[in-house]
Formats: sequence, structure tokens, C-alpha cells
Amino acid sequence: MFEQRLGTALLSPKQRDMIRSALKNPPSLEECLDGLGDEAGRLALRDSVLMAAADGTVDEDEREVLNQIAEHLNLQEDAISKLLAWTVEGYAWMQKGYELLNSLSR
Amino acid sequence: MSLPEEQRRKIACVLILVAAADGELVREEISAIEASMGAMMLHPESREEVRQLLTNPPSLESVMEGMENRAKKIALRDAALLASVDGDYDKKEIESLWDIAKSAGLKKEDLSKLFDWVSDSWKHSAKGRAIISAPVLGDKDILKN
Repeated sequence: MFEQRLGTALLSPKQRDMIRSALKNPPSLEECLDGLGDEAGRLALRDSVLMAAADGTVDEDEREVLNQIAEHLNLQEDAISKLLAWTVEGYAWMQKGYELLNSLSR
Repeated sequence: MSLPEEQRRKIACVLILVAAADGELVREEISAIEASMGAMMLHPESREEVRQLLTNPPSLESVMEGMENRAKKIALRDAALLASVDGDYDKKEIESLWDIAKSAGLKKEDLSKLFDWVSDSWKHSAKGRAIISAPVLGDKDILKN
């Protein structure tokens, strides 16, 4: 999921390396949110929810960070719940794709 | 993804060829190809090899030679998603998709089912953008249907 999003963003290989290195030495959430525009912030929150749910569960620590981002962006209280419900639908759609591939001829 | 690196590289090659089939490669297509290579955890060197194909694209037939059937199916699924990112399927893109489908032993109705599944993805993406109040042009129409 992480590599997929780096690809979608069309970041240069150097930028990708910089961000990958942040996995080992993560910056604070405040640093990341500082200067982030409203729309970019909302897109980041959407992708953060997708990423947090990629292993099938969203644990308390992850939920806490998601809530902090939503709060920073001044979003409605149910924003995270809506995004999580949307993410579940998305994973069901992906699963349907795998099932479809398996059910096709041959 | 449990496919070997070479099979994953071939999937990415197929994507490049389908995206370039209509004679132009738009930003959204490049973004989708890069996302796919990222999702497949393709080695950086393989990614570079795939990108180089744009200057001298091989035939689809030669790329699919040696591809496992399940890799062909995954390539077809991802290529169908990719071909639709610039708004619609171009005639040449559809021909390429049909070539992949035939090579994987699939029928026309299988391809139709895949196109329906792709359409669902657009509704889902539009719904996601609506939740975060970041709609793009055309989302209203997608969500209405």
C-alpha cells in the first residue's frame, strides 16, 4: 500500500527514498501536518485510513493518530468512521476482483 | 503478491503496452502504472527497465510469452483499470485487452464482467472523494448513477 501510494503520487526516486527512510526514523505528526493544505490534508487522511486498515484491523494507536489528523483538519466527528466504512467497501470490491479472476473461464 | 519477480515485471510491461496503445500516455496512466509497480513491490531496476519500454515498445505477444496464466489474468485486471483512467476505453486499448483475455483463455463475456467491476471502482473512488470533500469533475454524475 505504501509503495503504491508513492507510485500514485509520481514522486521522484530520490523523494521516494527520503520518504522510505522516514519509515525507520519517523518525523512527528505535527511536523507532517505543518504547512499541509486543506485538500492535501484530506487526501492524506483518506490514504492514511486505507494504510491503517491494510492489515485488516485498525488498532487503538492508529485510530488515535487518525483522529488527531481529522481534528487538525477540522473535520466532522464521524469522518474517520465514514472513511473506515468506505475502506471496508473498497476491500470488498478488491476481493470481488480476485474472485472474479478466479471464476473466469479456464 | 506471490508471483515471481519476472512475472510481476511482465505484468508491468503489459500495462505499459496497453496504456500506450492509443498513441498517448497521460499523467493518470503513468500514475496508475507507477502505483501498480509499487503495489507489486517490483525491484527498482525492473521498474526502470519497464519505463524504458516506452521509447521502444515490444509487441504484446512477445511480452506475454512465458507469462503464467494467473499473471495474465492479473495483468488483464490491472490493464482494464488502467485503460479506463483517462475517461474511456479507446478502441486500440480494447483490442489490446481482448488480446490479453484471449491469451489467458477468456471469453468476451469475461471481459464484460471485468469492465463492470472496473465501473464499480469509479463509483467507490468518487464516494471516497465525497467523504473528504475533495470531488473532481464528473463525480456528481458518477454518484447519481
